[in-house]
Amino acid sequence: MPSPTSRMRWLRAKLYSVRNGTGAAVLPPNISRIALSFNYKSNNGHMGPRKFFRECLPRLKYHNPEVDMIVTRKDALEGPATLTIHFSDVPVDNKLQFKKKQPTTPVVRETISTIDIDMLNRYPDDIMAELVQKTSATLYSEPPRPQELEEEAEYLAAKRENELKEKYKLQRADRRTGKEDQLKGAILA
Amino acid sequence: MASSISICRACLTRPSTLVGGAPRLLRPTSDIHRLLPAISTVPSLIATSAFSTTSSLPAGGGAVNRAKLKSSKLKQVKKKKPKTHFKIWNHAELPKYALTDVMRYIRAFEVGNDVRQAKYDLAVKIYTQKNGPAVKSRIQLPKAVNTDIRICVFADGKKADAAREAGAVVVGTKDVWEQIKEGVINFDRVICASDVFQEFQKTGLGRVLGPRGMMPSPRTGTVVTNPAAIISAMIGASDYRERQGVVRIAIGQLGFSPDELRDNIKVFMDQLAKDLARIEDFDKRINEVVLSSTHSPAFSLSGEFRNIGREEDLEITPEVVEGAAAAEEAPAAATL
Repeated sequence: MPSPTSRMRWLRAKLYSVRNGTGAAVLPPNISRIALSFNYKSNNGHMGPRKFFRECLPRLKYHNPEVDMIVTRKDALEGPATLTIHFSDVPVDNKLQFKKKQPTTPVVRETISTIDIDMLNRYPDDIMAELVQKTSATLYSEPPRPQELEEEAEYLAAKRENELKEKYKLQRADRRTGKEDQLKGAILA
Repeated sequence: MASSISICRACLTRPSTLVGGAPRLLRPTSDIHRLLPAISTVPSLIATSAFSTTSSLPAGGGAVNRAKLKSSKLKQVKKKKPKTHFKIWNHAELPKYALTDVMRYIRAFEVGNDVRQAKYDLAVKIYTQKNGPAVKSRIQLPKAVNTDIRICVFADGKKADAAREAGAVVVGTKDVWEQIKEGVINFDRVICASDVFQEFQKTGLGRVLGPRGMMPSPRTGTVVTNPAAIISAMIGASDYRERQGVVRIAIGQLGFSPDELRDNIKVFMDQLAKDLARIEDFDKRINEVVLSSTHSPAFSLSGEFRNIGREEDLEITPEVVEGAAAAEEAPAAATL
């Protein structure tokens, strides 16, 4: 098992990137499901949908854990790439359920209406913008860090940079002396 | 130096160029060339051989130094104490996460993957000696992870019927063996009734089943008098063992609810604690519990189910939450 420190450094960056960025938006509660359908290969305009799936969908899922997100991919080289949003009734307040600690059973919510978004030949940002506009979702942004943490982070970054500088300086010096030694040895021999 | 044969160490030129180019060859600085006065007249073969012998002189000196270095390194290694235990780390100040938070992150990382194929993995780091007995056992989780295990039973008569009722997919003796010889294997586990075991051994199917880890043998408990009895235990049971000081197990499917996953983890940790306690004379302790999944990063568990006050406002800064969790659950998550 890798050491906890090395794991955590990597993990923090990962978690930050899944909370923030394109796709970090809270959907309204009347959306029950988002279904993507595109190809495995990126030919003929299926690159954007794939990028959307890889980059934006995890963020969307993180901020909307209750919404089903279904991805179907085909082996074809052509064809449509669509994102379908399923609307349904507003469910019973989830927070109340949490407080009573009822066993939450996965309830299949019936879809009343759907909206399609064409993803063909589009960038992920573009697709996300249309999704936000059509669902009237609220974009998420991380609350700013407290002043102390900000200062600490700056101090740590500066420290790390200095340490690296020192390290490289030493490495360079070592290399130079090594080369000189080699030359000297060659001449003497 | 491997290049010493083709390059003259004195003037750093190739012997071939030396032989060919007469003006470059006699440099007053290099002693070696002075020792070889008639190079331009000597045939090329002899010339190269002459260079190879001269260059071996300094190379020999280098070899001696290297040998010295090697011996000194060996001495240093000998001084070091051998490590008896697997390395453990102090992770008290590092962030730990409550189960529901971890599940939310993991579900986000696993979005779009099949909820039946992707699994939650639990890794338990153990403080233990490198040699000595290791934990190896089998557990029946409250909600089974591998529900689609296909079992084959070698038996005939009443036992075969009983096995079929218990849930075996393939049942039989000679006809099944012939199928296996032809390469038709559509099962994951094999159980053999003890009365047909001798007959089975004569078929020489070990070459087919052995590499797949499906060869029945009395030592692993797959040759029994009553196969039907252990089928139910085999379906839904999962094996786990300690490797390199870590016990790993698939603890749940991605579609499990937090409650189901918590129950599975609880049962597993209880049994693991008992397993560790059972090994006498060896100090074995749980150091860290880490939950990950097939495509997600690993999270150190704090031992809580839900972060207190977390469900009210989900936009708490992570630093605050991490600090609180670490402070509350500084010792390992044995409280799970």
